[in-house]
Order: sequence, then C-alpha cells, then structure tokens
Amino acid sequence: MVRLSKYWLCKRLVLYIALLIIAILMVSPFVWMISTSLKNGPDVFTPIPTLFPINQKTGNIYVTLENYHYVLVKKGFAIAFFNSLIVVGIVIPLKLFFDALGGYAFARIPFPGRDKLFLLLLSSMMVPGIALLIPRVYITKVLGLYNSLWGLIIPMSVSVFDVFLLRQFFLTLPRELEEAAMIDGASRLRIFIQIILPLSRPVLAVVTITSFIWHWNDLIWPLVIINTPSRYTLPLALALLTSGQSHKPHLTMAGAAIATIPILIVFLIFQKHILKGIALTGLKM
Amino acid sequence: MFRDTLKIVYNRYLKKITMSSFRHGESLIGILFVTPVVLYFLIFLLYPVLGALYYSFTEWNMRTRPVWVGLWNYKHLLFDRINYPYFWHSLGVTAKYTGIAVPLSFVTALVLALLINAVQRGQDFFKVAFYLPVITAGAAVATMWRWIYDPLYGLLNIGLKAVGLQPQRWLGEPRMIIPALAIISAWQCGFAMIVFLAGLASIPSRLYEAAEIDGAGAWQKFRYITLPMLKPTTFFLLVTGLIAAFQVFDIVYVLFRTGGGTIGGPGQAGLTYVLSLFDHAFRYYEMGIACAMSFILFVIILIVTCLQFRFVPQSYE
Amino acid sequence: MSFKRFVGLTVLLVVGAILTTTLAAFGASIDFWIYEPSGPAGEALEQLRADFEALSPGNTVNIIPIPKGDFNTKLNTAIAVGEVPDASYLDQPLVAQFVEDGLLDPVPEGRIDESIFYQGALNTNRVEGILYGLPLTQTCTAIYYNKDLVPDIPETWDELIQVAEEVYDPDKQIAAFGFSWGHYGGGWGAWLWHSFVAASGGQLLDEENQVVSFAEQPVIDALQLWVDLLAYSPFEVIESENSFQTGHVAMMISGPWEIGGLRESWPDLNWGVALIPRKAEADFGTNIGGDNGVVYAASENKGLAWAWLKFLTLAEPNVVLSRDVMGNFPINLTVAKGDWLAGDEALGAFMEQMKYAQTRPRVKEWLKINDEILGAALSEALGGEKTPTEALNDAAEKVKQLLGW
Repeated sequence: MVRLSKYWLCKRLVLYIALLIIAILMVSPFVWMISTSLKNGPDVFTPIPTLFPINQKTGNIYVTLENYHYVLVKKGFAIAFFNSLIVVGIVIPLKLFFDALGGYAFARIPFPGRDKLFLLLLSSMMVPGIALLIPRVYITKVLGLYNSLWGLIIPMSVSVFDVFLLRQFFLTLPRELEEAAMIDGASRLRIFIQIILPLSRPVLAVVTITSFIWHWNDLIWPLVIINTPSRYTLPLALALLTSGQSHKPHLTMAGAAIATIPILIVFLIFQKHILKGIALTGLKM
Repeated sequence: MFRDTLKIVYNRYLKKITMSSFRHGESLIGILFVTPVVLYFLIFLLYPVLGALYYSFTEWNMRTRPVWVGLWNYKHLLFDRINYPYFWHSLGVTAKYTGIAVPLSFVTALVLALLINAVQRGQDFFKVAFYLPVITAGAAVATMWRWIYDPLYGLLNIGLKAVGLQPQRWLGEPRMIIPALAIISAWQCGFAMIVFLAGLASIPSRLYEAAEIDGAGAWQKFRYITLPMLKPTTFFLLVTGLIAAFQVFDIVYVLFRTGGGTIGGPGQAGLTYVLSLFDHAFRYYEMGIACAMSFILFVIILIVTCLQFRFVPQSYE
Repeated sequence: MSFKRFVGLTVLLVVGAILTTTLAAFGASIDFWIYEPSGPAGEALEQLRADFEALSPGNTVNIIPIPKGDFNTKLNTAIAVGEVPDASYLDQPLVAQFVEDGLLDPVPEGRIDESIFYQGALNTNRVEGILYGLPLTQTCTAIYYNKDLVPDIPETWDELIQVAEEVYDPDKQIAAFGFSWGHYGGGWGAWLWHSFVAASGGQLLDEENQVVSFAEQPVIDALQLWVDLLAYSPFEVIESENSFQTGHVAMMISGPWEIGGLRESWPDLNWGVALIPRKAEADFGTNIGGDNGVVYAASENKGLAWAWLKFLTLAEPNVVLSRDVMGNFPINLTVAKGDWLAGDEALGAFMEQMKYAQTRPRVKEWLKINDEILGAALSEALGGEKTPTEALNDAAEKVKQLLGW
C-alpha cells in the first residue's frame, strides 16, 4: 500500500513537472507581450527578453501604464475597440442563428437536392480567399454596404465551416425528441427554437469562441471595406500602429494586449462548454 | 415523466404512421430553413468563386478591364520557368510544410491532451495555458520565436550548446526554415489539442474498467481502446488540418515580412503557395495568375480531401 | 404598412443626401490616402492639415491612414471596384503603371515651379515628358557604422575590405558588415544591393537601348564585394536580431528610418552614418526611394487635391512632412540645403548621400525581376552555390527572355 502510494506520487510529480515546463513554453510569449507593454522605450531591447519591466540602468523593477494611455487616446484604439464590439456583437448572434437554422435543415429535414447542395457549400471552403476578395468587395458595394459597419456584418453573417460543424452535431441528437414534440403539434421552427437550440448550447459555444477569435482578428476585410478612420476596427488600428511604430514594441504590445484580452475573457467563459460541445458532436463524418 | 411515456408509446406504435404524414410540407420548411445560408452562399461565395474563375482566364492588373486570354495563365504557371520560376517551388515548399507540420502538430496535440487527461487537478489551468499560443497576438509570437531561433542569443542555440551540439541558423539557412515553421505550428496546436481532449472525454470509462479486469496494462489500454476510439476525432483533424496547412500564409508572413524583410525568407525557402499567390495578386498585379493559382490549389485540395474520405478510416467500426 | 414606412424612409434619406451635398458644395472636400506615418510624431500630419485648411477656408482634407504593408492591397482593390480616393501616396515605380492605365490626372500646366524640386525625385513622376505627380519625400540608403569599432571611415571598396579585415573578430563574435533585417538575398537584399551597383559605376538595365547590364563587370564586382565581405561577416552573427544595435556588427547598410529607433532605444550605442564606399575609379552612388503624391482622374475636386499636394511640397510643410511625419528627406531644394538639419550629423550624411542617387529601372516587370530573379541570384552567390559571374549571367539570360530584349 505504501509502495503503491509512493509510486503513484512519483508518477504524479513527473507528470506535473512535464506539464509545467510545457506550460511555461506556451505562456511565455503572452507574458512577454504583457510585460513589454508595461515597459519604457529604452528597456525594451535586451538581447534576451526580460520577464519583468526592468530599468536597464538602475536594475529596478517598475510598471508604466503610459503606453496604454498613448495607444487608447492618441492612436484611436478606444473608437476602434468600440467599433469592433458593435460588429462582433451583431455578427455572432446573427451567424449563430442562420448557421444553426441551416445546419439543422441539412441534418434533419429532407428536401430534394439537399445533400448535393451541401457538398457544393463545402467545396467553396477550398478556394483561397485572396482570389475571392475583389468580387466580394464588388458585390458588397453593389448592395450599398461599402464603407459602413454593415459592410463588415452582412457579408460575414454566415459561415460554411460553422454550418458544417453544427450539422455534424445535429446528426447525433436523438430523433425521438423532435418526433415527440411533433405529436404535441409543435412546428419545426418551434422545435428548433425550444428544443434544438437549448440542447445545442455547447456547440454554439464552440462556434461563438471560434467566430469571436476570427472576426475580432480579421484585418483584410475591414481594410478593403472601410475608408473612414472613425469606422476602423481594432485589427486595423493595430496594423496601423505596428506599421508606423514597428521599432517601438512597447507601444505595439500595449495595442496587442488590448486586442487580445477580450479574446482571453471569451475563451475563459466558454472553455468548459467547448469541451462538452466537441464531445457531443462526436465528429463522425 | 409524461414526455418519456409518450416517447415510448410513440416509438413503439405510431412512428411509422405519423412520420409519413409529416413528410408533407417538410420539404418546403427545409428549403425555408436553409434559405438564409443559400442566399448568402449565392451572393458572397458562389458569385465570387465564379468571378475568380472568370478572372483566371484573363490578364488583369485590377486597374483596367480584364482581357480574356483563355488557358494562358494555367499553361504558363505549369510550364513557363522564366515568368513563373517559383510556381513548382512554392508548391514543393507547401507540400514539405504540410508533410512535416500536420503530423507534428497532431502528435503534439495528442500528447498534450493525454497529459492533461492524466491529471486530476489543474486541468483548466493547463487547458488555458496550452491554448494561449492560439490567441496571442501574431507580432508577439513572431518576436518571441525570432528570439528563440536567434543564432547568437536564441534559447534553442543556447540549449544546443549546453548539451554539446552544433548551433543552427534556424531562420537563416534555407533547409532549416520549413522545420522551424513546422515547430511553430506544432506549438500553436491548441485547437487540435482541445478536440482531442473532447475525443478522450467521450470514450466510455467502462471500456477501460473492463480492460483492467482482463489485466490490460497502460500501453495495451492506449493501443486497443484509446487509439481506435479517437479515430473520428483524428479524421476530422486530418481533413481540416490538411486544408489549413495547404493554405498556410500567416506564420511566414509574420516572420519574414515585418518591416519589409525578404519575401519568402532566405533562398525563398519559406515561400509557401498562398504567399506566392498573394505576391502575384498584390505585389506584381497579376490577378489573373493569382486566380488561376487558386483554382489549381482548389483541385489539389479537393483531390486530397476525396482521397481522405475514401481511404482514411472515419470511425471505429 | 411596412412598405409605406420603407418608402417614407427612402424619401427621407434621399432628401437628407441632397441637403448634405448642397451644403458641402460651399466648400470642397477631398480624401487623401497615406500610409501610416512612421516618423516620430504622427500628430505633425494633423497640424499640416489644419494649416492647409486655415489657408483654404471651407475646404476639408480627410486624411485616411492605411497600414503601409497593406497599402497597395487596399488601393488596388478600391480601384478594381471603382472607389478611388481624390489623391494618395504612390510608390515611385507605380506611377508609370498607373499612368498607362489612365488613372492619373496630369499636373495642371503652370501650377508648380519645377525648379524648386530635386530633379531625381521629380522625374520619378514623369512619363513620356509629362508630370503626373509631385514628389513628397525621398530616401536612400547609406552606411551606419559603429564608431567604437570603425575609427576610420572607408571611402573606397579596397579600404572597405581592409577595415572589414581589421574589425572582424570571431572570438568576440564581431562581424564586419551586415544588412538590416538580417537576411541576405531576396527582394529586399536586391534593393539594398542596388546601392553598391550605383557605387560601382554600373547600372542594372539600360532602358533606352534595351540592354540588360547585369553581367557587366562593374555589376559583377558589386556582387563580388558582398561575397568578399561575407568572409569577415559570419551568418550566425549578422542574422542575429538587432546585431548592429547590440554591437556585433561594425557596419550595416540601411536607410534613415533606423535613426529614430537607434536614438530612442539604444541611447548608449556610439554610431554614425557615412557614404556608401565607391569603387576606386567610380563616383559615389546609392539607390532612391520615397513617396509621390498623385491625383486621380476620377476625382471631382482635382483643383483642391493639387492645391493640397502643392502645399505639401512648399518649404516649411515639406520639412515637417518628410522629417517629422515620414522619417525621410525633403524634396524641396530651397530647404534641403538649408539649416533644417540643425547640425544633425546623421541626417546630414544622408542628405549628402542623396546627391548620388540612381533611380531604379522603370520597366513594369521590375518588382518581379527584383524579387524572383535578382534576389535569387544574390542568394545563390552569397550562399556559395554559384560564383557572382555565373549567378549574374544566368539572371541576365532570364531577364532578357522575360523582357523580350
């Protein structure tokens, strides 16, 4: 008994040490990003990156919030942050609804030509986006959405990847649930909203987090759609900062930190759901 | 309670009869449900794809009207070594990258998932920690890795010297570049890791319990239960991972482009297919060529994906 | 009901739009696209705009900053869908292409005094004798050297090699000569190397006579010089990040954009700027870069757009634009010589170097030749796969076929 427990302890210890070493490797760029954003200019460049802001002359550890102030006030990050929030705040609910509605029909409601249509949708994922850029901007302009925040929302309101993911999930839900509801006389839309959506919370969380990361970081679409600086989104503000002040990492890292922290928050909130969500899709294709 | 009873009754006696009557009008509802997705597809995907297909048969610098040139773009991309010296090279770079990065990320993600799965406490912490590389800003990732790979002060070379090995020029020597990029991609395997974790979580624990009763060791349990049960997960990651690897762009762009550096790295060893495609579109203003490249890649990805659906086991049956 | 509401809303919008346009007609407004200012103070540009609007009451200039790396992506996408700004920055080599596509408005007759400009910079806007834009700033490359390592600045290539031999110290990991951004070869390396071609007395293309002169002796010598320098400049040292700043590299070739970073982040480094050494029998030389301002033919306020661009080339605004906004040099001769340098040695050295600038070839395939052929030749020679003569001969052959010369 004692020997077993010792062996068990040893095993645990080795495991945790391994995990911790890997965790340090994984977390260090993030930590460096934060610590650099708290440094003054002359303390940024050291041959080996420092973990804390250290004054290279006196050796004292310090913290400055000056970079954040500069970036938020002088470099338009506050407005850009707000614009990004609006866009992502509208895109994600819209997208979740449309994608889930479509994914549900593709999984469950038979209609002529359904599976062929689905394959056609899927194959559009395999064409590199750069080639599609100009026709997409053109159609956006024809629809009157050019240079407006709606132009960042409507053309992003559906994702084939998510329809695919949601379809796989709906395929694994037991049919009996819907059929019982139908006997009660419920309509398909009602079934979808009252039974399917609540059951899908986990997979919807997956879509939420991946969409959030995607839209929050997307640079190229706002770049080509928006011509008015007051409508710039966060990735544009960050790219402007990086291109103009590339020799000042303390400023660019403050910008990057502002851009990353909302993602971290969203991830922390949804990460438990993500586990369940992916488990439930079963990933059988 | 009532609902359960109803369900049993329904399943046993009424299912067949009622289902046929439900089919009426179902098609219409189905079509109605997919209408937003289909409308979006027609406007924002199919129209651009057809547009790009048309441009792939034209010469177009984006500033004047496209001029129809038939198959010229395709023919010259494939055979003209003077005008398009890097077409096959970039395809090779991408193939090499895919060949190294996909398996490497796979194994890393699986090992990390198994490690996390093996501990009881702190799972959430490690989950977040291992996912951080996915969400850390590209500029921070690039700076950190440029330091790790730095020939004089880099972590990697300091480590190699400490154990008596020869330091390398990780981002300087052409043959090292693809492995260096693949290591970064393996480091950013957070998404695959979480998918594997979910796959592991969905394996019923009674399988392991039964195996233990039969006297199976840790390796046997892994070999005969864990691995086969992860097949659907693996398949999903393989399909999406290959599509992503074929279109790799960001890592190279961030590492070698910052501040006007060399385009594909030393000796163009990091010039991936989509990076080269981007250059043709927006550096050399040959949108027709870029579109033709897109459709060549499309065909390659389509073939590879079909092969996977045909030959890779998708489930554990 | 909802249809009525829709109609009502539309009418309201149309009326609103008409009103706004009428009101705006009292004063004109232009959109001016620039890359994000990289100089020390982005606010300086705002001041320029305010100054201009004060001189031209009722008119508005909307400055649209765009990330530099994405500028051409944005501009060409906009042009493709018919959304051009009134005026914008434009890379020097793109002016001729944009003119060929009929996009640019020629500089109105008698609008500017050509004699106030650096002619080299002005001529990057000339296509078949007609001016299609105004130079706004200019730049070139020179040699940064570490004063502690290099006491005597080399003037000729022989002296350069001699200095290289002296400073090279494998034990202390000190390399003689580095390229900014570490990596050799490729499109960037080719752009830097052009300065040494200019300093060899050679040139890359003879456009008038349609001759590819890559494989001529001065050009080969320029590549041989880099190969020779590499013997005293180990890759593992010069490829290290910021190797000049950390004191591992004695000399490096780069442009004036390094100055701000060196002063702010490396206050203890003892450095200076010198002319690029020349081949014994040749004159000094360097490459040229910079930003031109153009007005689009589709603009509805061309007059205002030209007035704005002209304003930016005037003595004082041009100093602010080039020095404080872009980190480059003025194109206005009357100030370029003046005391705006305020005794700044580094800027003075660049200003001197600028006199010897050689424009890059203006064939429209140049960027591709630079990246894919010249860059590759450099990599091959510097990597030791081919001799400079072989590499450049092969490259010349390819360029001849590509251009059909």
